[in-house]
Amino acid sequence: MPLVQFTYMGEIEMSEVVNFHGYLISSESNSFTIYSPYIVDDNRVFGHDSDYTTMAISLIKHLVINEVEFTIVSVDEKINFEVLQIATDIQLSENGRILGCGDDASLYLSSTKQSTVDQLAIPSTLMDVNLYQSMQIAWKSELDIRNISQGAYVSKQQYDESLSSRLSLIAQNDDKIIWPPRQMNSDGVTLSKESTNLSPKANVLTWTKLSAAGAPSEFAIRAPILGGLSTVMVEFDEGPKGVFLVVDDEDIVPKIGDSVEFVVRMLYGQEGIVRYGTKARICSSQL
Amino acid sequence: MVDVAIVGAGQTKYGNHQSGMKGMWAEAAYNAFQSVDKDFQPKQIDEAYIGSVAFGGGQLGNTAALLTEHSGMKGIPVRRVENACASSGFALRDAWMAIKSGQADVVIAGGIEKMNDLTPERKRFWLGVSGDTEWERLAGLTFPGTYALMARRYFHEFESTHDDLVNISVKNHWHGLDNEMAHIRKDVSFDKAKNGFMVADPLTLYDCCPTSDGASCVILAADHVVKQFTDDPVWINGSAAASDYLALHDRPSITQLIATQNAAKKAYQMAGIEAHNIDLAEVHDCFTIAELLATEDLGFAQRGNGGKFARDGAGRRNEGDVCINPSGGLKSKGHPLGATGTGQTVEIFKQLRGEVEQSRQVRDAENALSHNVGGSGATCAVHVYGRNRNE
Repeated sequence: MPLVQFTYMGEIEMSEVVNFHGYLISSESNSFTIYSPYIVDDNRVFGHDSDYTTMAISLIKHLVINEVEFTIVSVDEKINFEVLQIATDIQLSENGRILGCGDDASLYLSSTKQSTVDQLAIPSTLMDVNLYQSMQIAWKSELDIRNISQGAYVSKQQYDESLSSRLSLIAQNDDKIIWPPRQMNSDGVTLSKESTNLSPKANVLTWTKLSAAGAPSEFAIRAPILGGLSTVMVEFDEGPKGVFLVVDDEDIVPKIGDSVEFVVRMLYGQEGIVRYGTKARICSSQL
Repeated sequence: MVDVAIVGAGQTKYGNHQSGMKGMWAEAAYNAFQSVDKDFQPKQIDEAYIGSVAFGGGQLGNTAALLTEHSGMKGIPVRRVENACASSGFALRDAWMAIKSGQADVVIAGGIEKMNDLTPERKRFWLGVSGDTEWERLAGLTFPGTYALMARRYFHEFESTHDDLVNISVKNHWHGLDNEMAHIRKDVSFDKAKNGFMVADPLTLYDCCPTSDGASCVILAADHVVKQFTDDPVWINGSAAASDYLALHDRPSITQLIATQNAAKKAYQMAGIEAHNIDLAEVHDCFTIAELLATEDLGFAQRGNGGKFARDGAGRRNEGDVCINPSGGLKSKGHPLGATGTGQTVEIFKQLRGEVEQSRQVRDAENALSHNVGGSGATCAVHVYGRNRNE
């Protein structure tokens, strides 16, 4: 059963709205706004694994891909700037635009602060209110400071050590392209730091959907609500392979040979901290 | 160089135990001591190696010291060996090496895991701890998921379907039916196994081993002291181990286990025999796809023919050239992580000596093999056994 029901609301002028990374981006004369596509009770809400930080990353990446020149003078405190910086390599400038959060699940890059956004012209997807509320409760439980590991655990130091590889798919170039990063080769030579960006797309080699009962503890609260977790193993054009969760809010069954793109989403929460990572979106299916 | 024989072997029944770790270990050790044909006392043991993941964290440190002091072995050098599900396969190899080195004459190798005394909330933190935590676990994978990735890719690369895995499940449940030590003793039909609850697509519940409590223990002796204990030893004619990338995505191929291939090649070479000489094999079928791959990696089937091997029933007891998992394997006998490797050896010791239940005895077996895998193949220990000593 699909997790969401697609419905378009209001006047749609698709030429003004771009679908990117599962979000919607509109541009006006001097500003850009990125929206979550989901609506609950007339309110725009985040998808199951999205927040202001994940949307900010996608907006910046969209602008960079389209060679839009911009500088940023300030970033809303609701956005995790450390994660944004590692994922996009942005720096703050003395002058420039504001990266600000809207009152709903949207944010903007503009020279002036905006308090509201116009939703009427933005295509939207109705999300089941019960599903949305269940996920909100689950995230709240997961992010409780008392939600601690009693077994397997990825510490902040371990997580941070490879964060640039995790968030922006930067690989090592050591005769061959290596990702995720490794430390030393069999000659005893320490491998070079990450320096090469992997392609933003890759192909599915194999996949599985794990039942909620078998989910790792990090996902055990949300997996039953999602009906399990989908994972793909992909191969990049440059050679490395990797395993990635499929984004939580798109219920597409992968197939071997599918093309996927990579987006930053919330992976899980633990001890009060959101851990972000790269997930896969199925973007072209081999029929 | 000194040769090494098994002179005693015992285990607990696998399943849900009321006993704690100390009680389970003492039971397995007692059964091993009692299995020695001539007089044997634990004070004759020089050294002990005990495999355990220490699932649940109940006794993470100094596990071996605690267990051995509770089973009459106080004072000897001991250590816990940890290589995930291959812990006691490696403990066996370490014990074998201790005798080979000339430093010990009588050595215990064993394993233990207590898995079912945790609440479900606590247990979920301990499942999948032997994969690449940072990359695989955070991609949503525990081992059902990891092996499911391998299975789907195998079906894509070779002429095989999930039905081949179903045949493995049915066979192993049939083999385990009369095994009094087995965790799950029930005949499972093809349709039931095929249509089981989907755990990790394409693997159903009947493709997955259970989580079991259990302990196992074998007694090894140097050739010059074997006669003190038995006139009917089982010889370890080959012992080898290997490792590979921990994470599946780092391996060039996910439809073969290189660690198994490398360990098997060395073990066969050491024993002076080849795969076709093996009469029975206890292979690591934590998931049915793992047995399919093992039949290829150990040389019982050509690469890509593991599905056909299963489809043809080639591994069924007393029907083909080799009996695969006469105990029922991890699928039926059970999988108490740290105990599994030496539990395989217990089965082989009894099979080669003609001591298992009559109904499930492999006939005329001379040579056997055990194959113990850690995680999704990062570690592997292979042992080759014989009724006769390889001289």
